[in-house]
Amino acid sequence: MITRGAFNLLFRPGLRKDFRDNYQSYEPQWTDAIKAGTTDQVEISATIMAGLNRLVERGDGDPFIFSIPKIGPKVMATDKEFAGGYMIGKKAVEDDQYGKLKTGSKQLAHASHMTKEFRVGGFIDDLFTGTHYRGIDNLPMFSLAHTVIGNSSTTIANTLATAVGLSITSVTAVMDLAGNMKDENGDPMKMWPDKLILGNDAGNYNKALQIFGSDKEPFTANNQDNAIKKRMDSMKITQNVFQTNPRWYQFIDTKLDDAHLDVRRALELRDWYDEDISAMKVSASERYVIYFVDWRGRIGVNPT
Amino acid sequence: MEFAYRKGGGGPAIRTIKHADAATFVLGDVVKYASGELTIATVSETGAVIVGVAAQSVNSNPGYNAANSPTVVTGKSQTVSVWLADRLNVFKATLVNNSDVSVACTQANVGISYGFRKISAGYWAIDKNITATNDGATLVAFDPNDTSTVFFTFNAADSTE
Repeated sequence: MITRGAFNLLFRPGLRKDFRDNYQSYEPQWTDAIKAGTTDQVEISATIMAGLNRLVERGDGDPFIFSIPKIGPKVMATDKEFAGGYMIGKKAVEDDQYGKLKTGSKQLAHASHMTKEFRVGGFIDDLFTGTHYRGIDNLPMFSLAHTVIGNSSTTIANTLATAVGLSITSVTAVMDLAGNMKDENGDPMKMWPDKLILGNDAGNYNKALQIFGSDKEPFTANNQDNAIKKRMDSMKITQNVFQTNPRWYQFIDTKLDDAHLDVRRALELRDWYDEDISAMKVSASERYVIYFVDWRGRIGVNPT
Repeated sequence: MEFAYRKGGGGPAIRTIKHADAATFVLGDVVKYASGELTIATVSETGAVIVGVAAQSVNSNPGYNAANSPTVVTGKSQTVSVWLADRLNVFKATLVNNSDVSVACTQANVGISYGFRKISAGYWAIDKNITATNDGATLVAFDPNDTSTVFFTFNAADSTE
């Protein structure tokens, strides 16, 4: 419980009013890194199906060849609750000359926002290892050998075998991975990124602006047209300062992306007065689940 | 065995703790730590090892025992809630005397330390036949309408709390 003595600086007037307890924040970054939604389910369950992908040449009088579609394994996700609170003694509130001890709700709302940002940052951190988050093929989001349900011999990569920093070369390699994307039958499908998420690295951000923004190919004096800008002219470049490694980057096809943060219970702020101990209590709680099912919407690179 | 009331009022003292991979205890079992994770206690524990009484069975959280054998369950939590064996949580159990048959409690039994007898999974009783080593509980009251129902707290010497 917050007692008077712990905040005795607030007993007397004379402190400047600017307590720096509320800095300007970034715009929400987690909403760029994952799709926001809601759920009223205790458990989220999902699978993927692969329908017929070929017709068979048929001769005179031949019967139809009937086949069955394929269905993948089941994947599930369940939410977690996040909560916190303040407890402030009545005398501490009465003696606070600046009213700062009564700003608990605002602080808890900030804590909720920060918790989401770091949880999604942690999700990004895990996309190459899959310790906490795995998809339909029981692999991390980014793998060199994703499997498909309709073709046991096909594997698909959505990360580079040799992770290199962001450059014309690495973006071209990512384009190759996108061009080689396959569906669950192992047939070519269209995947074309329209969003780039960078870490907190100014050099990478500047480089991205040059790669996707210059009419002429950057980093060379050859005065060639910038083919990358022509092919990816609507690339949205964003930065996530909450992922641990600032050098990692990932490309997302937002139509295909299947990573979600679904809110089960929106943030609830409550305050009440406990007569027994003469204390004001403020609490916040919320529930949400972070998960992904289909890995096809992203291509990631993790240079060291 | 289950939580009955908390001295001074309010809800029980509860903590959510990770259980061992091989743990098989159920709601109502007395639990202890094994390498920092919960496992079922025995009736002959010595030392301050008892954490409390399991308020849920292992593998009972959302995501467990789902139909169709899911290959991935994101967010599944290998934890259980435990009613802690502190001095203020009062628990309810049946009183026995060296057998599985319940016996009547008398006022003379109140305030005395006794041991435990495990009748079956999740069903532990207070055994008035155990009064020395392994006496982990002290009776604080009994139900005058059903004198085999007793209320107790875990002894400090046998508890981690």
